[in-house]
Amino acid sequence: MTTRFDHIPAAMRPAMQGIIPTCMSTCDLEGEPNVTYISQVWYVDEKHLAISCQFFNKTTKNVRENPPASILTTCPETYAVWRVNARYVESRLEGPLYEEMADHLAVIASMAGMQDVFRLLSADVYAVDEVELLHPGDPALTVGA
Amino acid sequence: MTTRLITPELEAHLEGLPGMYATTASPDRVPEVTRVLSARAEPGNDVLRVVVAGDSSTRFLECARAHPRAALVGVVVSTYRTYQFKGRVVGVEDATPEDVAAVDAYTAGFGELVKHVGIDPVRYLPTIAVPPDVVLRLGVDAIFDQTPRVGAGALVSRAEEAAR
Repeated sequence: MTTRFDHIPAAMRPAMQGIIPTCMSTCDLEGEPNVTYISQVWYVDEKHLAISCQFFNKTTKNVRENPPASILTTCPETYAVWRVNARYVESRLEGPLYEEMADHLAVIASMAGMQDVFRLLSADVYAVDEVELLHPGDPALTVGA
Repeated sequence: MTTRLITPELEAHLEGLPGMYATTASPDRVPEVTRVLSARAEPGNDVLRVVVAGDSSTRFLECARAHPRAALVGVVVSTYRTYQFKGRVVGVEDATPEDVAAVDAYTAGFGELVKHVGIDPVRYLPTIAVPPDVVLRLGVDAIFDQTPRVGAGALVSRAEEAAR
């Protein structure tokens, strides 16, 4: 049975570390869905998250035309799986959020050996409409255990 | 003569145990993503059998029935090679024993892969073991290379080009 929230619960925040890639889908104005991997989902506050915008141009175009997005992320410690339904709000090109995400993206890029590929264009902020816990995972698990 | 979009190279990609997700969208253009438990090409055509868990894909499947467009993305975690398959939903049906067997094979193979990143598959696999009970048949009409790099998202092939 799926558990639902109208905000980002504390238990979901470990799934926003960027260790296991997150998946995101959008839809264009003609009704064509698009799905892609994203490097980073960032906690902003209980009702907002941010996505790193690097080079996924179709996603960028879609959400500016049609804001709804569906995001699926996995906790690297317990493997709990969360789905977030959200709406694009704005893109930040500077400021503390942008700087924090750029720094964290550099770490992810280094781990993946993609320093030359991962460059933050903007921190795209989304308003959270609904969060579903699709799978509770196993709280006894930790990576590398 | 019709050329298949899903070439042997792309079939090999799907058989290379990629992490996979799929999306549909409602008629009012609200997308819904779900985890894919296995995906394989039907013999001789460009239809993918995309297996999902019905209980965590309720809205995904409702959208598929109401607005028959869908997309699937798969990345091979060791190489980051990533392809997106877009197309028309040509059917939603119960999983067959062959589909369930494909999921079992995929899950076992994926368990071997996660060993290499320090995860015990015996403890990990039960957390992703969900009933593979529904198949979305995706008639692929466009394929994109989404391997992370400058220029990611380039069109690989589209149906009208393949049919020349």
